Amino acid sequence: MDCAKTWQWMMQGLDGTLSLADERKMLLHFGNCPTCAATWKTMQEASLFLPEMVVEPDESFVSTLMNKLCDAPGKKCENAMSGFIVTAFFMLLSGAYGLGYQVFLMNRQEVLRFLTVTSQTVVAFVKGIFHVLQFVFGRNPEAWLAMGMLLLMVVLLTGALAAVRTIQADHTPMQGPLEFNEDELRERVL
Amino acid sequence: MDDIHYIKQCLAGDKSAFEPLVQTYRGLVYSLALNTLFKKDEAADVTQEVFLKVWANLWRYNDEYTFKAWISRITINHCINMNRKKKLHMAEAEGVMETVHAVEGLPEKEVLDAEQKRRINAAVQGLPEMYRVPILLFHQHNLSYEEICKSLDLPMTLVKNRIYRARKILAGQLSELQENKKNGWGEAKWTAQKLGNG
Repeated sequence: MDCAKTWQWMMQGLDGTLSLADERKMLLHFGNCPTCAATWKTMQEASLFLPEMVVEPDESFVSTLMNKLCDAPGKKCENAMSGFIVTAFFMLLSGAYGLGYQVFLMNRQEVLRFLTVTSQTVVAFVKGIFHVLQFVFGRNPEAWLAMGMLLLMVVLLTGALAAVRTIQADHTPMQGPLEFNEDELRERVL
Repeated sequence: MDDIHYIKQCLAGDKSAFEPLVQTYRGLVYSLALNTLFKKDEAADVTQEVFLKVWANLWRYNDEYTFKAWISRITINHCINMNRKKKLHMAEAEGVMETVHAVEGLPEKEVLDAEQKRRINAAVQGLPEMYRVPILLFHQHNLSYEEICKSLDLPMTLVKNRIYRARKILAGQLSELQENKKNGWGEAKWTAQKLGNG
């Protein structure tokens, strides 16, 4: 019987999958091969001692850690909050920027830029929604998905509507300068 | 009570339910960190950071993993990132003797056990990280092959192969150490040579 086969049995023994029949054969081999017997003894000792060699942090560790936890899991405390605020700020800024284009710069050339801004707003909005859903729904992914899709549709429709209005406004014929009849105006005012 | 029960309580807002989880797994996290970073203070910091991360991401926990595998994975990834940041390539000798207990005043059997533990510990520390982590997860922390696959994000064949090779190296080193001891060659010299070669 060769040592290579015995080594395989030793591995199975360490894995806890060695059959009784093979174990008997392995023990028989150890009777004739002191090297394999010594290796098996060493490996068994290692397997036995390793769990005893687990080290733990100081006694104060648990109490220190518990004091550092925020009140509810799933919240990254200040980090999550600041992330949310930054996202919301970015979202509002992009939204305002987009509306600014719609109100003040209604030229066809600006439509492309307006759409870019709208898409930026959508991205920022989606990020914001994601954070809000994290807070509200916790671990329920279906609720996330449903709410996320709904809000995304609203945002996309709003963006698209705004873009269409911008283009339509561009086609509106320009009105000439207003002409005043001074006498009529004076009569109305007085 | 099982881990899932505590996790559910935590997710329902009961902060105190996290304490049993910390008590159960602090040894696993700290040992893994220490065996990867080799520094007590860094291992303690990592342990704390890992538990804070676990708390913050508890809602992401997937039942497919056992909690033990999940927390092992977070710890290993955290340690890898830390090592990457620090560009630590060489294991430092400090901390190798972390688990060695004082042997003075102990009965002979316990002294021999302590000696053997020190040898085993030195041999394990001498393993390359790719072999050291899987073998510690299996033999020290009692993770199954499946759990190790999930913790390390490796296929089963690779995990089995690494554990097999780790055992082979370990058996060779421990046998060599025994031989050297019989021949009167100092253990300190052997360890120094191994670390020097590593």
